Amino acid sequence: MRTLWVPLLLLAACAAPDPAAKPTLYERLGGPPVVTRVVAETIDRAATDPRTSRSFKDVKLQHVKDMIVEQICSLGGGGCKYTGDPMDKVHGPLRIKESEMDLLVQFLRDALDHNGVGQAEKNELLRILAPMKRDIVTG
Amino acid sequence: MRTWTGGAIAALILAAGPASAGDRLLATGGAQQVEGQGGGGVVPWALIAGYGTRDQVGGSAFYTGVHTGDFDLGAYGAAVGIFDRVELSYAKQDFDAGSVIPGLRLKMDIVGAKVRLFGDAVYDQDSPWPQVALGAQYKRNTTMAIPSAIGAKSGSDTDFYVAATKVWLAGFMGRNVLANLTLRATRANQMGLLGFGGDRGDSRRIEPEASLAVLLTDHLALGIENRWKPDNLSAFREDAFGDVFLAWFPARNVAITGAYTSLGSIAGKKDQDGPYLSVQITL
Repeated sequence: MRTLWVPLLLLAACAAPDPAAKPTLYERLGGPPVVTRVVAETIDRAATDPRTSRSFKDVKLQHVKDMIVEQICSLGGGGCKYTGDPMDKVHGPLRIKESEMDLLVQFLRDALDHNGVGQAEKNELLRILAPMKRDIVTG
Repeated sequence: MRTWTGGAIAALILAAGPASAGDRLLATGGAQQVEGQGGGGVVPWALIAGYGTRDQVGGSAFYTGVHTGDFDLGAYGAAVGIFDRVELSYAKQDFDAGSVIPGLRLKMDIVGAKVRLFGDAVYDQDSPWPQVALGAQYKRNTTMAIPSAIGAKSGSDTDFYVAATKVWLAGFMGRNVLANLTLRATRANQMGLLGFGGDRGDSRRIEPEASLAVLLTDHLALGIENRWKPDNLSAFREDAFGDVFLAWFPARNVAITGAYTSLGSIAGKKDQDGPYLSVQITL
């Protein structure tokens, strides 16, 4: 009986998250203060750059920022729940072009660099966000 | 003379720039390889040259110099990337083989075409599939007297290849990793500088070409490549090409690649190793 329990316990040990041992990506990004600043810089730049600004006209920028922070918190293990609309529904009517998507990613990278986020954390965040392109780019 | 022509091509691309520059992510056009196509140092990749997205036209121009113990190779050219789907390129190679016969220069023109079939090397992070492209390189050796004399069968030919490229974001110790595998059907001798086909073989063979790179930062890539080649001439046996490269993107439109190449035996001279330097302008 005991011999059966040992592998089971090992399995449980592997499956159980241990936040003390391994910080989440959201924590490693710098948590709410850093992520909030990064998102604000990214969106403010996208809303003013003539190559990307058209999609941000008549949009409540603060709401967009809040929803992106919430989403990064949710995907990065920060424990938030994303309460916004699905990505395809939000972006579909805008017919976002691939060039606009790539520029926004570049703005995000610049903001992450500007706020001192590490190379690994930056790349891990982009890895999580990258597949959203399929729902965002329809133009 | 060759720098003037290279400069003229670069100027042409720059002049066309403001109207057609692309917005794709930094470095995703790769560096034009030694035959003028988007890729690494000696291997064409599945990426389309330039920064054009699916609704833009981009392009690049390059000059590459390689110096080994006995030879110098200069290559320059330009590529246009259309809607991140089709790449067309033109390059010239000038190979100084004065160590074999004083004054000997072997020259080649290369017209390249590449079509991206499917996949997105960078964005498809939730999929194991790479970006895949089909390519061709039409090569014309304009100095065939010597290659013919040593047994090369023809002075022009077309290589065909399929290339697969994949990027893993944060793939190794948090760094982005790029891998490429290209399978080329070719009968070229030393890329075609020594003509095509020979006494040991005159039909195309499938040769693998591989690249592996890690992006140390968004602006700096460290990588290795290996390119296997046919060995058609018993007079001049040939080996695989290999290189270790460091590609630096100091600005969005500039790429500088330094490499150390190991080119093996060339035209009877063994162990041809040496530095490689390439400069590229990308739009």
